[in-house]
Amino acid sequence: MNLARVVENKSFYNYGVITFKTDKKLDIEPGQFLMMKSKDGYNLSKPFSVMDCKDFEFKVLIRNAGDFSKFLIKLKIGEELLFRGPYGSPFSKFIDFNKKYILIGGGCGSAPLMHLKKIYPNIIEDSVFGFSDYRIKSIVDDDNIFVDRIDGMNPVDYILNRNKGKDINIISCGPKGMFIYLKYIIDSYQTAWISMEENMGCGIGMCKGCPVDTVDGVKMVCKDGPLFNIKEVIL
Amino acid sequence: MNLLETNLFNKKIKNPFIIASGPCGNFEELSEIIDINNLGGITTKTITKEPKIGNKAPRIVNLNDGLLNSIGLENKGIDYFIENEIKRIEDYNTLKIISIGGYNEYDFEYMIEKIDDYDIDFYELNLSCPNVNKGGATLLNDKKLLSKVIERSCNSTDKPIFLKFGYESNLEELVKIGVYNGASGVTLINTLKGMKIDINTGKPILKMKTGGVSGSFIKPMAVHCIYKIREKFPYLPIIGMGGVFNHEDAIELAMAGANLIGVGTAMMMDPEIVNKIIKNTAFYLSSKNKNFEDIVSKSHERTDNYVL
Repeated sequence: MNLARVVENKSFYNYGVITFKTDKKLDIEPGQFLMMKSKDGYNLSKPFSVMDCKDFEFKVLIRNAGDFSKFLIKLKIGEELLFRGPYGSPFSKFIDFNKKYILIGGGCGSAPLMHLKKIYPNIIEDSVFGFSDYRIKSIVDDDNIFVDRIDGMNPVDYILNRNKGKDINIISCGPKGMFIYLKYIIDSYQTAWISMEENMGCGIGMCKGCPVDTVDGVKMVCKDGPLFNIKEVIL
Repeated sequence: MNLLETNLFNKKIKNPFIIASGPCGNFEELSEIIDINNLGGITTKTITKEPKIGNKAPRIVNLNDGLLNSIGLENKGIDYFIENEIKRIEDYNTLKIISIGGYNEYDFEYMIEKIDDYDIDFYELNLSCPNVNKGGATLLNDKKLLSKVIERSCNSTDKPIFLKFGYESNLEELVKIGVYNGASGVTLINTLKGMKIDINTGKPILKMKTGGVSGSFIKPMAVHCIYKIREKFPYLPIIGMGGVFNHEDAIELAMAGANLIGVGTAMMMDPEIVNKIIKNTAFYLSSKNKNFEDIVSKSHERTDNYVL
């Protein structure tokens, strides 16, 4: 396990963006995740996709959803936690760099997509990052944050309408409900990749704790993913 | 001098620390993080005759100081294991324990006969997985079937067979059935059946609703079971496991009567933790001027107020 120290914590009740500094130079590709845990007690590490990474620093986007995120939100500058990784296959292993992609993020699932947008801007056609709290704009700087529902439209409809008539390739990360909707509405010729999340144990494929049903049998989100072709997974 | 060295069935084991069945799969991923050859032994994930797809997600829930799982013995079956995994496992220079699970005596016999000629050391019969509807639980409830499974398994091999039990109310009786039918040792204890409910939705978090609880809170039960069986069966080899996170936990299980110590859940939390436990146990033994075998079953000595 490696040590990471908080250098910035921009958190409010629902969401937070926390920047950590480490002693280890990090090479994290968009789509990969870190397993993070507190220094105290015996707990499973939790997977976090990084939102940004540069040399010795990485940034995570969190939602106040459980005990560990509650702990993260309260972290003060200088406080430490443990992490290991990066794990999981990077987006670059699957996507075609000759194509353009539309990014659809739901809540904290926006983090790896924001990382992708920053590292590979040339392959991004358009993006939308949906959140449920407008205050996210005070901690995340992006022109495509979608908070209010426009004419009853959700972020998925909104971005697909905006890009009607184009050859659409999608990369999405967010809640399962969003993927189910996406699978329902996209046409069979369209390509969509989804970055999945599941309760994880070890994060490296040994415990078999994070299964996803696919047309080729059960796979593990941590080792075989987290990115899957939407046609491959049984949602 | 290696203070941690121990012996079982005239076999020298470099240290008493083994990986418990399950959390570390079949060590392919773990071998990229730690040197498997530094371990006393490894136990495979439970292998079944036919492939098992396991239970639906969520399969795993964090608990403070432990976890709840309902993996459901996911594995690709004995034929896949032989074709793709056993050769790699044979290459490790450590004690190799193969965990097998089945529904009846023929399943166990079939699997043992298929892998018996490979370079493996012991078998562990998983008789107590809380995450399968048939099989483990049924075996413990049907003593006639249990006897047949153990007898037939033992007759299929010359290698030692360990029986893995959970926190059973009739544990002594089960161990007696095991010994009578030829088992060489027991593994104590498997996870305990448990549940966690999301108070925002009112629903159980695990898709299967119930699962196996592991972690610090099961250590007192593990110590009790090991102590109880050691008291009744003074010479029966015991692999002790349940809530081992540090060298103090390991020493406690050894003093209760465990000859080998399994580390499981802790490995999922920190895959390097076993190396720290090995190092700190050696340091403890050295500071007490003892070796590991000196402390095994120490709590059964009939003296008052001894100091190590």
